[in-house]
Amino acid sequence: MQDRRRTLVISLPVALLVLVAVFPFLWMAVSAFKPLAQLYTIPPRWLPDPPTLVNFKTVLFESNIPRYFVNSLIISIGSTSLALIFAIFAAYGFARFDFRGRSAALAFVLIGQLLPTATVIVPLYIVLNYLGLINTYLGLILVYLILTLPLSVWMLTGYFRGIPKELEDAAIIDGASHLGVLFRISLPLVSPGIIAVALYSFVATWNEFVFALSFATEKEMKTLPIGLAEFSTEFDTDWGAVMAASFVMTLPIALIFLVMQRMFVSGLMSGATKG
Amino acid sequence: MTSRNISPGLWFILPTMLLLATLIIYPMLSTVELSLTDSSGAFAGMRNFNVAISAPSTRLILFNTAYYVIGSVVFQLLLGILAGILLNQQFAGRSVVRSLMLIPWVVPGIVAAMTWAWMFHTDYGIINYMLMQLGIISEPVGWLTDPDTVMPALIAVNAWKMFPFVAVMVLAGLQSVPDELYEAVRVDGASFWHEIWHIMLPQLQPVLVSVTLLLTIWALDGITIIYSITGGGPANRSMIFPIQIYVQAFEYFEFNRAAAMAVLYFLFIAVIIVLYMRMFAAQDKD
Amino acid sequence: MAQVELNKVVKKYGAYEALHEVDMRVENGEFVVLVGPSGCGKSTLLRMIAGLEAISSGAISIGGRVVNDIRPKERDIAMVFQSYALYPHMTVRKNMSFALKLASVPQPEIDAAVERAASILGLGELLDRRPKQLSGGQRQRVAMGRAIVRNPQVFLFDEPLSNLDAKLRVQMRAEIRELHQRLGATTVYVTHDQIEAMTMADKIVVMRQGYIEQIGHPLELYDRPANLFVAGFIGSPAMNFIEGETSAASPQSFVAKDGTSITLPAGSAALDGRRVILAIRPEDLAVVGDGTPDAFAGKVVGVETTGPESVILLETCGTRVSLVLRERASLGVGQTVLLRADPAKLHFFESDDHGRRIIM
Repeated sequence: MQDRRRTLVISLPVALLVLVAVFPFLWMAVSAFKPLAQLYTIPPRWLPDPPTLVNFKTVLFESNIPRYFVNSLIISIGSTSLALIFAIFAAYGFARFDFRGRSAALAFVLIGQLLPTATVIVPLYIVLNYLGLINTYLGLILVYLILTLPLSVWMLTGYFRGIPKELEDAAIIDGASHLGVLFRISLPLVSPGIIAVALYSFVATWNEFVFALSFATEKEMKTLPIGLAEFSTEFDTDWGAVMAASFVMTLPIALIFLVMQRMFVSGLMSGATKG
Repeated sequence: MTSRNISPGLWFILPTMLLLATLIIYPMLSTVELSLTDSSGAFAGMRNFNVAISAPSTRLILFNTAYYVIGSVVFQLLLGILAGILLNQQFAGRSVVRSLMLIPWVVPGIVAAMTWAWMFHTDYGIINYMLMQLGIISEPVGWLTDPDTVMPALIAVNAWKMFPFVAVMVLAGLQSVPDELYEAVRVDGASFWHEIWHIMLPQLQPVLVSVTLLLTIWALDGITIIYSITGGGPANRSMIFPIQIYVQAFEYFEFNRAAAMAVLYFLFIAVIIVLYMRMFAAQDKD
Repeated sequence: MAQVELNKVVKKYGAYEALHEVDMRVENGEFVVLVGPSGCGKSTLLRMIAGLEAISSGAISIGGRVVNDIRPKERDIAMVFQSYALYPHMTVRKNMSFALKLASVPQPEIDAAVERAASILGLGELLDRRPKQLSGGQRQRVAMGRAIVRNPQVFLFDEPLSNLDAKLRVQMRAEIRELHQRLGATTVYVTHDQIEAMTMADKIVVMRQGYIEQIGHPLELYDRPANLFVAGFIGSPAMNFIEGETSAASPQSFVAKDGTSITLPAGSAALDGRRVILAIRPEDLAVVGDGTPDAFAGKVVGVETTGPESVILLETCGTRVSLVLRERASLGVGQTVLLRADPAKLHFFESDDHGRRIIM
């Protein structure tokens, strides 16, 4: 009896919660498959009838979205890999060695992670411009290290710390050098962590907006978020196409999320990134 | 071997620290320099700051920023805590619901912004339709074009986007509360509300303190949602400080004024970061 | 094979000195156990011998060569860790061959060494398993196998048995001893468990707070502890300590602080009129019948029986003492009995901070 009442008391707010969380996402998906006439009707149609791919055709064949998609992919993968290479060494240094200035350096990394983007865009623009890196892949890949590097160092330090010190001592006794310990023992053991960090960095750069807006202004170099925003800044927004493009942009993230859900949550709990 | 003069740890972190210094410290110093010079590079003293502070729109922008940050954080916390407590209860399908709840946080910010902009559409938006069906409003509201509703609408989007983060943190905090504690108060005859008030919230306090600071910093850095939905309009009614910096720099090309604003903005946020670090240092004793 | 020698070895962490000018010598082929309560510096000392911790001052030499600045891999040592420290992502075979591989030993030689070690330890069938799939005792053996494979001059053990359950611990104790006899390698073994030290060591080094308290053969430590700390640390149940004094007036008796008098052996003049601590092992106390000379009274406050023997807890001499009976006790709590201490087996210690043994 008690249980039954409890179930009822709980299921109502749970249903509400699920509705709030999921509805906008579903509405985006539904809208993406609606023909023009069904998008602009009152009362609105709950489901497209029949579903159409016309919006996706617009997005994939009549817009720059595919190009932006490729740009985003290159920049995200580039920045993620570069950050990982640097972060593996730095995180290992932070996790395993005690040296003067260690906590100050770690604090600096943390500040880097929290640094508001708006405070550095102006000089970054000037530097990139000076180096001829505005509107280049390399420019954004480097700038995105501001997002990915502190994040990766921070998360990986935690993973490396989770490895028992005795394992590394054993390897040193067995004759491994510091680098040998890192590559033969520690790195293989944190490989789940490496994957989580890589996915995290990927998502962070994939979603980034402000730097991309400021440093990739040419049509050929824009990334997906900017392309998406462009759709609606024009007077006459094609909402079907915007929703279809949103759908396309969300796909890789959704896939990552489905596969790595548990890692996502633990990463989220380390307070590592913003959405 | 650890007695060598330079710890190997330093060599490990050196490349990263150099890179971060180039990417963060150099631009920050350069921002300060820009803020003190004019467009020809000559020393300008506090002129850029004076212009930035005395601009007629500054007051409104400051107000908007505070409005947006406080509104967002309050609702993110409220929704997140409720969701966290709810998802800590036993019910069928709990793990599925926990995953579904993460959707807002997983969806890219720009996608969330676009989707909500479409839902807030004055004529064809689903929100106006539902509210009218429920009899809450009698005619369509121009959520994103009406100066009085634009901020609440944007706050709603931001609250929706980030509440799962709070919920997950709260959930983790609650799961670290030993079951005996709940059982003990139940034996003492406490109601569910007593449990929330006397057990859960006190246990969550440290988590909530750091979460609040993170949310504040993220809200202060919240360009994506507002810029892509309203661009700061209508008539600057949703213009917040970081967007103003972007606009000054990349639409008006007033780099020096933008730099001055960035310095002011940074000083403000630095205070908050220092607070966060203090708390973090207290938690991470090792 | 080699001896290990520590000469005024100091370990400092900043201003804090963890080890104070430690001198110690491990002979070739000797099995030496470092024992002491946690925080006494025994593990630090072992790690310094291994080369995992830097030496602040002094010298450590292995086989006559000072190794202060020599890296662990060049010290010709092998170490078995408390948590075994098996590489989780490698099979048993890979774990055991890792060191040889790093040293670029040819594969056939590695294989032969691994097979040999595996057969010594009975690991033959486990070679292709991963550490996760092994029991605690098997992991322990693999850890030892990893050490044996390298055929080192010196074996170092850091509390290797403390993660095993009691029964397995006793079994592994014997196995490690057997292994030592078979290989004859110099061994330094760290433990906090004095029984392990007593049963395994050729020589025990008792440490406390960064100092060596006593070095000696197990029975030497048992029979002639150098100070109160060693007396209390070695032996279970622990030695009884009774505070009191002797007087010049009656040199043949010791008076405890509650007035109880205990007869001393002849020639105890060294104690003249001093406050001292009298110590006696539980098995050197006996319950005696009425009328026995030199007996004193005690009240039974507890009886613990293990089967073959009983430990009787008594209140006497203003303190609590324990007494071991090699028989089933028919004593009840609350009963008062007469006790007698074997005068030949009394120990005396200074009643100051050092608690040094008083030699008579």
